[in-house]
Amino acid sequence: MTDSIDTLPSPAIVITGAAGWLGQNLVRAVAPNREVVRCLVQTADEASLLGLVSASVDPVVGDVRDPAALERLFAGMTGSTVVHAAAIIHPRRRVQELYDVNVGGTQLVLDAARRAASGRVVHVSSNSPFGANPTTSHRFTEASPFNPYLGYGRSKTEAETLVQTAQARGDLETVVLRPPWFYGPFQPDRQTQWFRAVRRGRFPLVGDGTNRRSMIFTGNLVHAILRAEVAAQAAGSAYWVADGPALDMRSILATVREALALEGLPVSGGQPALPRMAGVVAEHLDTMIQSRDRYVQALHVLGELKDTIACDITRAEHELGYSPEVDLLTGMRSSIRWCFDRGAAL
Amino acid sequence: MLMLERRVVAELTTSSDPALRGQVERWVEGSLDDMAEVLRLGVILESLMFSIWVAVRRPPDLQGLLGWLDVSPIPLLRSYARLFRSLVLFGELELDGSTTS
Amino acid sequence: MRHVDAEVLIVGSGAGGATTAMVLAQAGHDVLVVEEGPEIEPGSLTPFGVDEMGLAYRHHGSSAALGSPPVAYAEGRCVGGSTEVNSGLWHRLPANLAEEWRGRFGLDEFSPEVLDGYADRIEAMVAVNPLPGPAPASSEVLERGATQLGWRSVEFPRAFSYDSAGRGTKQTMSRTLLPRAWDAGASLLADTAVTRLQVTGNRVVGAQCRRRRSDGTHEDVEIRADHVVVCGGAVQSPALLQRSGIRRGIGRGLKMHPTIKVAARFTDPVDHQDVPMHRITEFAPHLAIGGSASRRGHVALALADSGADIDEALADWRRVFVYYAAIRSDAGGRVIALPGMRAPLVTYRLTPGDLSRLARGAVHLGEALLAAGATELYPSIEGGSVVRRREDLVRWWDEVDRARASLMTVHLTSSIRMSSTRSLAGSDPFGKVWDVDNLYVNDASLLGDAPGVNPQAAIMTVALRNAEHLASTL
Repeated sequence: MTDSIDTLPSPAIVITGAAGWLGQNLVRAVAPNREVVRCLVQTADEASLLGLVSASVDPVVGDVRDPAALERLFAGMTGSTVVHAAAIIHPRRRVQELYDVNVGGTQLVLDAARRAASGRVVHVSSNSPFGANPTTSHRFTEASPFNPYLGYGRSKTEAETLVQTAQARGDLETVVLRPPWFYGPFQPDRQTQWFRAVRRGRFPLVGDGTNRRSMIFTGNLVHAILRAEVAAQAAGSAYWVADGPALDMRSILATVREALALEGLPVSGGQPALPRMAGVVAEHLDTMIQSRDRYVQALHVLGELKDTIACDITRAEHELGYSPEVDLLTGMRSSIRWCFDRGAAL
Repeated sequence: MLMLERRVVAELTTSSDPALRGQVERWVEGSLDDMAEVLRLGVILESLMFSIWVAVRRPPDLQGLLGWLDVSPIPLLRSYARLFRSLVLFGELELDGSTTS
Repeated sequence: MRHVDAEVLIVGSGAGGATTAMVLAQAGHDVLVVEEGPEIEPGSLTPFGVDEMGLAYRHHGSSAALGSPPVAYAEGRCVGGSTEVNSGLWHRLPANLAEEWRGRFGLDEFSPEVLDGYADRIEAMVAVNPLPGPAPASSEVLERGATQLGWRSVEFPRAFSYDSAGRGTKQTMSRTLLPRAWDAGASLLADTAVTRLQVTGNRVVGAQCRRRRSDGTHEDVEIRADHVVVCGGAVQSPALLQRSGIRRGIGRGLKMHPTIKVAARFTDPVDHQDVPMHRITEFAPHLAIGGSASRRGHVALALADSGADIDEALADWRRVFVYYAAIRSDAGGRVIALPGMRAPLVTYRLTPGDLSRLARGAVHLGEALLAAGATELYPSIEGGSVVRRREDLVRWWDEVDRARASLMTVHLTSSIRMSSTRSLAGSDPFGKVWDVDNLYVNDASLLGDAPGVNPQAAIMTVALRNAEHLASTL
């Protein structure tokens, strides 16, 4: 399947956003095999928790917008792979934060990586620079043009262009990964609430539920990152990565209910539905509110639920040697079990 | 220039040289006269408002007014103090032939 | 009431007006240039000083686009326009922008190659040169900071000519293209503001003007003209058209380069006579870093912007210089002529992305200045942190907000634009105003966007293209 020739993974690795959803999964996956896992985290508490994972984990507390913190992060990391996973998807106060962290942070990380003569930088992007597919059968490919969805999409678009610029400069090697909606262990509270809402039959379908969504299990994304680190021909390219073919929204919710049931949780049979228009109204309100530099998470989520956001992962399979092993049901079950382990009631 | 504006300029000018003080006042006056009318109108409205504020104080307290404006949470009020501070500061430094490079 | 007749009336004598006047006069047309500001002997005023601010700038150099935050702006208002008062930094329109506008606005032959041809000729007429010797210390700060950080910086050429002793003369319009226009027979009416154009049906027939006599009194002047070219800049041109009843596509989509400043204190004295020629281009096209006019008064204003106690730094002003980060902005603004007022209302609404980019610019600028040896940085953020160590720069991210950022610009563009699609612009692909057969615009308001670089070269290049097109049709 794969045409790829691999380089060796670097013995040390730098991870930004290491205490985040993806970062936690990534740190645990790489910690046993690396000499140093240099992690950027926001607080001392995150640092001490992450430090427990393995002796190789070396947390640096700092702000991704702080050039001095990034200098500490990259100290002595010449030649190391960098995974830039720090980003904000739902700003707390003002929309400006999306740009501060997603654009500004990316620029500063690229700059610090270049100065430290790091190895390849794997930049974790998103589907949001590409908006929604025009039809349910359409799939985004690496040839699709940017069409950013609101503030988050615009910030991740600009971040991708900064990565391209850094690559074009000639002294930094980069690979961009574009994961869509992801799920898996170490999920934030909002995802736990989502499980609860689905279980109780309170999470709505928007429209008839035939819109398709690509999803990616965090474990699959970690695998994609590790492939992007070593696949020689990936330098300078961007790749869509997902679990596999996109599923329709109705099947996704059915699978989540099935996973909950298989993990022993009684599930409500009800499936509320909202007219597609509700999603359209939410998108308009979200646009209006964001233009006033404010952000309402529920509106943002509702606005996107009506859309098909689906990608084709053929190129990642060929060029990265990416092969997602975990399917939606298995991945959801492992997320649910992670919630149980943490004592979270679903 | 309104009476209050003249007094604000006098308050903010640090030099004791009457010639320079006069030059600064003329510079500020020229700048205000030359402002876009819509902006000048805004400044005049604020000046009238603050004239009343100052007049009802016993004793009249210009320094207090400027200090209050400097820290006001309302950008429009802060910008009033900043406008006069900027005009006087620039004028005083640039018109003072004895120290300018 | 004085009456004057002309074949072609050109309103404004800056980069656009001077170019238009030269081309049309040399093509044998009877050209009258009307300029609102005075004619000033080149070199007679101290650059960026109070006299220049009072005489050569509109509104004494301080106006503002209203918004949250407002953006202060300055424009020249004298014979030669802003070319008399700017720094003369010269940068051609980036090729990718020309291509983008060509596609977006349907401008068939607006290709980088064609524009380069015009730019070559303009540069030969104006004289564009790099410094003959080493750059001053204030400029080398930028190069040194960039080098320390591994960033690219460029010493930009300027519209300057240098004598054998290396003394530079800025090649303003009053020294270059305007004399060529006068030699070809064009005439000038200075101190004369065009208050409105007289439009009858789909033709402009003349202009009502108000001339300031040398004794300070005013007289009304009526000008009859076969063709009118408005070259008042991105604020004045749309305002004049609106006052004359032409509103379609006029005054919307104003663009600018919002700019945030940082006053940097060094251990050694810095020169203050010139504006730095170096710019840090590492972050192009999103943002550019350069140096500002830094006379003592400017240093004081920049220091005071932070609201910190500046007495000590101000006393040491010879060691302080003002630098800036200017961004390409996603936002747009409006120019709205107000009844009964000469100056229009100008608005500009920065996006969250713009504000973040300004914060990023300040942080990058701060890094470069500290790397170049600056010991203290005063940002133009009300209540912003005075930074002495690299680890403190991170504070500026949260301090740059709508209530506290103190922003300015000297580049305003795009309030009319050219397009083959009427809904996208106020003029056709060569600057002819829609629906008026003999009315044209030829200045910064035609640019498709703020170009991310000093716009004078782009304005003159486009003006030469459009003026020659016009000459071929008259």
